[in-house]
Amino acid sequence: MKAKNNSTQVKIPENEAIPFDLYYITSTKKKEIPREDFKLEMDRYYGKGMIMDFYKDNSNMFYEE
Amino acid sequence: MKNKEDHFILFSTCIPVKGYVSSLIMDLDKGEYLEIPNELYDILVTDHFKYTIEEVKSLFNNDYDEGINQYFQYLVNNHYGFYTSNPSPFQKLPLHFDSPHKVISSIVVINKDSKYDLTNVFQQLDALDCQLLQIRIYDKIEVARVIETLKVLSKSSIRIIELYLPAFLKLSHEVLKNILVDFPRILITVYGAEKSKKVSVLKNSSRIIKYTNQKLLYSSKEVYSKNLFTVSREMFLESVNYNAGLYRKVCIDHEGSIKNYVSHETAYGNIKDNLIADIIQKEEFKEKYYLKNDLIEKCKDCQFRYMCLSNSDIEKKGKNYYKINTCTYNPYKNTWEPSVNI
Repeated sequence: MKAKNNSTQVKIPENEAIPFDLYYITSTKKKEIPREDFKLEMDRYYGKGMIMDFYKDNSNMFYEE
Repeated sequence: MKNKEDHFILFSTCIPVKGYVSSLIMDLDKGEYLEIPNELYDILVTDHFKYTIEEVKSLFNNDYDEGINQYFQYLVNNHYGFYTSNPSPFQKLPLHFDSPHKVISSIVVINKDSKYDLTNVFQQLDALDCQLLQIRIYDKIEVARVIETLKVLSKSSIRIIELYLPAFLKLSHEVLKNILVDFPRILITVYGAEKSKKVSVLKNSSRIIKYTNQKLLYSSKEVYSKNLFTVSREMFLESVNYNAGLYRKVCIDHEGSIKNYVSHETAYGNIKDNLIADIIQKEEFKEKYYLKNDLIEKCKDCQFRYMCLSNSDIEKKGKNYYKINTCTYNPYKNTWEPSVNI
């Protein structure tokens, strides 16, 4: 009977000095925060009007009942 | 549950304000207010840190015992205050106000005769850390030129740019939409439209174009309404210390005159000859910053004085100050006349 190839299921860290958990966390975190995309997202947030909030109006010229 | 030795303390951001015939409690955290009778105001401003509830009752000759019980419980139930046996750790709200912005708000008027350098004005306002900019366009002018000028503000710290455009310019919906897309901080109001409406233009965005059938004339006065009041911590602190409408406001009228507000008569210089930074340092320009509602006749008797925004000019008659454009609220009768916008 042919042995199953499990090599894709278990990934052994390249550097054995790094605990597996830490390796997993750092590598996935790294993958999840692409810096350029993050920057673009922030630009988009900036432009969505989220900052368009102030504690008072400039003047009240129009008012619809 | 309150005990006999308990004190009743209002939360530090719940501020009782007395009017001539009616008072209110401003809740600065929730952004709302509760109208109360003047008798309750007098009870609330006694020193509750010193006196227990029972002692407060006796200060009023035990005439209001039942009212005090019911009102205090109502205020506790509605999160305006609380009972405590030890009030000493609690403090009142410090009333100091300061702002990092050299100019908080500004209005710039443009018509067909305006000859001043708009780019220069915007750059100066940006350098002064202006937060609110309102651009009022009258007449048939080339709006594309104004929009082009606004590009100098694309990286500025101005939070909100209000653009008031006349309907007779007949700018298409697509043009207005493009302005909103290109300038994320612009709010557009088209005045003098056939019908008042709000049009949503962008998907997944709350930004709208406002159309109003109201007119905007040089002589148009501000509108006062209960629905336009602002209850917030900053607004309250600014109003307690300064004139909330005019404090650190600088306006440029269509001729380039630098004023406290566009409809005021007094000009302190012209943008063609003076720097805004120099004008706002002048003592005579800053004089109106300090004429807060507490010092102005009628306003000082109004319970809404710390939430009402007014840019009206102020005149002195004898020893008293009066607003030239006043509201339609009568604090001596607690009644509103319908407001009229020209």
